[in-house]
This record gives sequence, C-alpha cells and structure tokens, in this order.
Amino acid sequence: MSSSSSSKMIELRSSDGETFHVEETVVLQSETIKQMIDDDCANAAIPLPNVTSMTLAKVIEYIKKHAEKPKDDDDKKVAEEDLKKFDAEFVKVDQESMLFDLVRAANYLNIKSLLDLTCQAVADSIKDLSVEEVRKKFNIQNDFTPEEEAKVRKENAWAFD
Amino acid sequence: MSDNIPFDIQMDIMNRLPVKSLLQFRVVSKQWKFSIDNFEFIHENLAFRHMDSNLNIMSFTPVASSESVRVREFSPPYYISQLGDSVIISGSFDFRNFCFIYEWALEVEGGFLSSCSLLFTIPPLGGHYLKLLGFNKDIQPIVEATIVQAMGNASLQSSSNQSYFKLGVEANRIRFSLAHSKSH
Repeated sequence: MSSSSSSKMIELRSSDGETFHVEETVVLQSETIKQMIDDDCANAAIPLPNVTSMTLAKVIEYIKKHAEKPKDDDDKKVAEEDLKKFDAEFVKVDQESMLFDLVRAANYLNIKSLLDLTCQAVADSIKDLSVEEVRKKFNIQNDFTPEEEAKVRKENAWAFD
Repeated sequence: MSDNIPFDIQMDIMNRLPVKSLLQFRVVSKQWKFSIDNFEFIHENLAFRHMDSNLNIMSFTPVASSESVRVREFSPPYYISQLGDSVIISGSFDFRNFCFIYEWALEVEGGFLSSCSLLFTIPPLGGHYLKLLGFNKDIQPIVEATIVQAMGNASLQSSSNQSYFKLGVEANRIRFSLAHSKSH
C-alpha cells in the first residue's frame, strides 16, 4: 500500500545540534528509532545525544544504501554484489576513532547489520596487534600484577611465537 | 575518543577474533581473560568429556610407514567446530600409556586453509608433539606424533612424500562446511 516515494520524513538531531532529514522507511533500520516512532515520540526532531553529526552522516549513508530495493531477480544479484562492495569500502575509514564511533552508534541505534559489519572490521583491525596496543585501543587498564601477567603469558606461550 | 566500547560489544568483537589472537589477548585484562576463558564455544570444543573415547591404538590404520616413519590415520571420534574465523579440530587418542587430547586451529582464508597450529594437548606433552599433516579422503585428520619415552625415543614421524588431500573450507559465523578442494 505504501509507496516509498511519498514516505514520511523523520528528523534526527545529532549531539552537536545538526539536523538530518531521513525517510521513515530508511530510518526504521534502527530498532531504537523504530521504537520511538512506534511509541509516538517522533513528532519533533529525534535527539541522538550520543551520536555526533559526523558519525550520524555516516550511519545515514549506510542505512540509505541498505534501504535500496532491487527491482527484479537479476537486479538483486547485482545489488547484493554492490552492497558487499559498499560495505567493504564503508569500513575503510580514515580515522580509526571513526570506526569505534560507528560501533558505538550502531549499538546505540540498534542497527544489527551495521554493528556486525563494524565489529568485524574492528576485529580485523586488532587481530595482529600487540596486547599493549589492544589495551590502548579499548582504553583498558592492565589489572594484572607483573607476576600474574607473566603466568598467563606462559600458559599460552605458543600464541606468542 | 569519548566513552569506551561497552563490554558486551567488546565481547562481540572478541568473538570474531581468530583463536591465536584470542589466546594472546587473555592478558589484556582480567575481564578479557575471564571472558575468553569462559566463552561457551571454547568449552564445547574442549575434549574433556570425550575422555572415555573408545579409540585406541588398535583402531589406527597406518597410512604410511617406513623404518622410522609411521603416520597413522585418525579414526573418529574427533570434533570439528568453529571459533571466530578458525576451524577447530579436537579429539583424543591413546598411545601406550598416553592419552592425548588435542586441539588444532585451522585458519581459513578465502575458503581454503591458510595455516594450522596446535593449540594444546592434554596432558602437556613436553617432549612429545603432534602435528596435523593433512586429511585423508574421508576428511579425517592425519596426525604425526612424536612420543619421547623415558627409555629412549620411540617416534612416529611423517614421510615427506605422504600425499595429503587439500581441504576446502567454507565458513561463516553461523556454520561451516568442509569439502575437498576441487582444484587440487
């Protein structure tokens, strides 16, 4: 019944006060926003205090791309390939902090596919890092004593070769 | 940046790491160590509860042998499962007085095995070691075992001309399948 061309627009406001207008059908990929709309809380601009305009723009780019519907089966195959390429490019961000921001935003906005994509990208980016680098990335305090740490390292000495 | 990634998301990320990184990252923090040590899938892969395996040395079929070289082919049970991007093979076998429990991590890249490494054996092997050589045509692992005994050495080692079947692996986070590589 509904036609996407006349979809209702939803207004989103980032933490730094910038507003974005996105079609409702697109924005429904966010479970968090969907809930707000269902609860009738979306008459005014939806405030997203945890998401900066830079991150939000990126998230919107993602959900817009993922909202595109292929016309037929042939088109579907092409679209799937296209989407794969898009995803691969999407997580190649200049600043690494952006990737972490996207993970947080995807988590907060509850967009499962984006969370999957960005978590995988983080995993790929840290898998070859040293323990110290991982701590730094996630801002984790080393709470082992030197003795404890040495013991744990010894337990899986093979992993350090 | 501002706040940290919530811990449940950190766990989601850990979940996607290859075994090698994961075990290395046990020393990141106590919380990470606890999570990694308690990941259910790791425990599922531990072969402890298969200790009462009916497998014994008599059920091995030599697939190659020479004077000092003997490679034996595993019979089931062994277990194949997945951890992150790695395929895990676990199993156990008895050799004389030893009962070995082993785990192998096979790294998968582009649908093919790119590397495999021995995660651990139980009991800790000391001078003994196991090495995965390949798979036979029924996709059972062929393992090389070197057993160092108190009285001299008795070793089982591989011959280099042993032919292995290359295994093709297709895996994603939910499921995986093993098949022979068609191109080899």
